[in-house]
Amino acid sequence: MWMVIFLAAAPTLSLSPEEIIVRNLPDAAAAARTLRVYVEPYQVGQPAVLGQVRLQGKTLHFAPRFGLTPGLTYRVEAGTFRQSITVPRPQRKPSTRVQIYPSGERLPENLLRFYLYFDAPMRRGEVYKHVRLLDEQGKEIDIPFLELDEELWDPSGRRLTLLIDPGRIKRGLKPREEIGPVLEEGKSYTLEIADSWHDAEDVPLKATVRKRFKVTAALTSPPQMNRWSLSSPSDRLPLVVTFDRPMDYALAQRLLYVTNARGEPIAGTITLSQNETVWSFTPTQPWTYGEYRLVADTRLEDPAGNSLARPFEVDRLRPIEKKIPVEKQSRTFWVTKKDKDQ
Amino acid sequence: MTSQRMIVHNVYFRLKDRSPAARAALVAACRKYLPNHEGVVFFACGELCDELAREVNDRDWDVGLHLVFVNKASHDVYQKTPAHEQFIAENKQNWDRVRVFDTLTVGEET
Repeated sequence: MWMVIFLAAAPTLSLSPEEIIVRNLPDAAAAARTLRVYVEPYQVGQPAVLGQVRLQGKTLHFAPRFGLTPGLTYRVEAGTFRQSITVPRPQRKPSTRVQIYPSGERLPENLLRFYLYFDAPMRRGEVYKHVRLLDEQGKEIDIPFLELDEELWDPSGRRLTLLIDPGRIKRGLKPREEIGPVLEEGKSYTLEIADSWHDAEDVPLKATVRKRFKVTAALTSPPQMNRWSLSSPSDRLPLVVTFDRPMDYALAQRLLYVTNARGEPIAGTITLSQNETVWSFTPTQPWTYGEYRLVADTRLEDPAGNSLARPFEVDRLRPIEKKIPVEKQSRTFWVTKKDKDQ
Repeated sequence: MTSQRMIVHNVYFRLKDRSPAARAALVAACRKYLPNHEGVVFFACGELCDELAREVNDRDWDVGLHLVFVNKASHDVYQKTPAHEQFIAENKQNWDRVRVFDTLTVGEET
């Protein structure tokens, strides 16, 4: 005698754009009355997701009142049935790009840092897996960056600061003596940012980016504000400042500003160009005639870490000057009627 | 049909850790604990819209929460629910500043 056994298909969860769908429940009509949906991780006492249950044949459809959220996991309970399902995030094509600063093709041997500017927030952690510094033969330089547990991101997750190991920059320190400097004058290098790096939405970068540069002599003296040239702005034309060398891209936007004669900051837009040697300031409101000041916080640095206050490397054998450090330096400029009439 | 004065409850969170991951975590917590209460007729939450940056835009926050309650009584019940209190307990350590804006509507047909 043959006995036919019907194996019931196991209940399953699936998603449509607006609903969670439960198939193959043994008693779908009864399950419809007890069905509850929660956001994971579930905790006792947590309110169930509000929504409507619809029974279609033996299939249950649950439509949340306020929609399903991509990335969240929902737990579905009906009688003894318990299962969870995650709403996938929409897949978009890789589109995130990266810009590297300093932007110049000739960088000093004692370069202190690179900035990587992304046009979308990036995923944190393990950044050093995606960044390589290569020599002229394409060979990877061993541990060129100071690998910090706390990666140096700005709050938006769009800017990463990559510090070259200062121990391999400063003369007389052990890492430099034993391993040698990261960058050597006269040689060429490539900084490579791999497209394996994912942004905060878990999508890889649009493309691998390579910055090639040649290394020049170390920059050891501090920048000097009195050697900068200032244009004569007028009306809505910008104040254009030409530095005595390239300056740090991020700091030059934060630590250099314009005030009126009373010291009140003037609102406006800053742009840096020509490999960070030119700083332009366009006021939000047209200039009015009179006296203004370009003010620099003395923490402003060049790419080698030499600030307006002092060089990055200080010779300890020289006597330290006993004077109160100046925190601000300024240059006065005028917007005159003549400028407008020209 | 009755005329009810609804409560529009807008909350703006400025975070200590303002990273994308921390913002996303708070959005997920809002979705988990806050929409599913009696009397909620509208719920939305999300991050600051980065593209909108006119001078009039107040951008000093990270995550916005927007609830509309059918009336003030349902709002008052919501404030005392265990889920709401659990939401606060789990997330307040990363709140730098919380601003709440409650509107009493002039009366809507429900």
